[in-house]
Amino acid sequence: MSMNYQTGREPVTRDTTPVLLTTGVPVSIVIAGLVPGPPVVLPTLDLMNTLRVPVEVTELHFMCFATSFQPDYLELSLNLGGHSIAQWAPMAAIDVRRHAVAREVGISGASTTHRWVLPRPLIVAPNEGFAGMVRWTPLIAPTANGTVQFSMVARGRRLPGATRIARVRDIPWASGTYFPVAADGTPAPDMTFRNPFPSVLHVASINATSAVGGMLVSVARFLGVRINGPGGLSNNVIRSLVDDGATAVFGERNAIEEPHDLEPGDAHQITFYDYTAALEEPLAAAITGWREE
Amino acid sequence: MAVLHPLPTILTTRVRIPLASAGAYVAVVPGLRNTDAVGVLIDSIVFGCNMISTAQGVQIDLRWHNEQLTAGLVDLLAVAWPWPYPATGATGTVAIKLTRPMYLAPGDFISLGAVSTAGGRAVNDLTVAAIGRQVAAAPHEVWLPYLQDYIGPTYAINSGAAIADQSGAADLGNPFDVPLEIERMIGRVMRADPPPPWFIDTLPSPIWSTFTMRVSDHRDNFWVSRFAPLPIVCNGPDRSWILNHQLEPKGFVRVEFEGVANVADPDGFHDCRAEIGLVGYRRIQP
Repeated sequence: MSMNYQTGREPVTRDTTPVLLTTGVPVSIVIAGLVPGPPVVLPTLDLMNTLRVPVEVTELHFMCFATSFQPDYLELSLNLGGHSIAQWAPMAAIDVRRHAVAREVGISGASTTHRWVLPRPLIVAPNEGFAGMVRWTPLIAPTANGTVQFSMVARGRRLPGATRIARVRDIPWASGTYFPVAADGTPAPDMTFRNPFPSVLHVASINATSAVGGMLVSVARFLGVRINGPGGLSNNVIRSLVDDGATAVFGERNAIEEPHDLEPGDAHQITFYDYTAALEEPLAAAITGWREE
Repeated sequence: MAVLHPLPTILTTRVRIPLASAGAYVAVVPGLRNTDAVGVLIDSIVFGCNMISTAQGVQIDLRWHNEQLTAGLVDLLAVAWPWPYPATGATGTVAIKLTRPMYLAPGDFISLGAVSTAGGRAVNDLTVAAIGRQVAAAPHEVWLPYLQDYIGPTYAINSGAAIADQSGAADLGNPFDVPLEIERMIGRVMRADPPPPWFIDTLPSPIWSTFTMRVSDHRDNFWVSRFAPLPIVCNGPDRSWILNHQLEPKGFVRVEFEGVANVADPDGFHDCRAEIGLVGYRRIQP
């Protein structure tokens, strides 16, 4: 969009108006008397494009603030209209940044901020919106009764020239799980990440991280990892390493970013082995990608 | 042919700005001078201080020849990025990472000035330097940084006062006849044990959610249409929103604040306020 002025001012060359869709004031629940136990589902979220033009969303951010405990072990389910975007994906694992910067501890609680850079921009029509839920598993008891606040934002920009949404869109996808790792080298149960859709899932990354806001491998920890799966990285054993193998495989971004396709029904299986003497915190793993729908 | 230093280096004279007298403007001309025989590209301007509280009460202005690099005096912590470290306590470093490097020919300089608003607190000297790298030739176009801020009103955090405030057309905008590339918006909630200096309120604290904001522009395009807490709009932990926006000439950004200053104050009677910084650049022909 260029603007020409009679005064001879230099016009802008493109419309770059940023847009941030938010859930507004964070949804909040009171946590009282919780002990480690089954997951707690936080209130549902809704985030709508209230503009009259489509919005191209490139990032989703999730912020959780808790007054009496570390807001870790968060999982996300999300959909856009009838399109599923995430199915209980661990937030720690869909954010491939160094998690040391994603968590803050302050005078009255702790917060985490997770960022999911979508593998493909997602076009959101006017009056279309996200709906989702966050599940929190209290693996560590809160130190005191308190509150949890949760919010989500979608970052992108306007598409004022778009008069209609294409029939087929790129829809992002994330799925995963938290899992404990035995201390004695016994492998954790295999995790299976299957393409649940009737169309090809374009895998953007396979991620793994410490569930507790940290890097994948602590100094005193050695992990082996094996990733099997059809197509994609290789047909058989993709990675089979011991002695800090997980760090070597996933690197500083906690992700294997080798794009490949998973046919409908096909799956990746990931096995972690922990060779450290002491039991460490659980891990989180996720697969992210996109599909045409 | 000149042998260029292979590593980023402190390229200019280090300038010491004595801030012994609160409220007294101290100008340093020439300020950050390129003393090398070759040109340099500046990536960051770094401010070192004996007490971080000094930096938290400092306003600066920067000029290059007749060109303003700041919209008058701007609050240092409204434009500093990434997150200043340490946030409180001992000796600290505050940096402004430029979104595009700025070229200085041999002998050329950036003038700077500063004023301390630290009030009754002990103040110390501010040491300023520019960091970047040497280059063999001048670029074919020059990027001039432009820093601006909007400082909101002060509220007593447990007063129950309703927050209703918005920036004006002259606060966060493009005063030039060329597009202004706005790379990032920085948002911070500040609090002070009166009198100032102002301390960055770190997450998590109940105070950070006191201010909710929405954002629009001079054409009434909403950038953020639903009031949301400031630290969510300017996302933690570095409190910035990467905009990559080309603001048209004479355009402006409008930020509106709402909220209620109704937070239990654990330490005594405190004031709080919101600060918004915009960091960007414009192109000029050398």
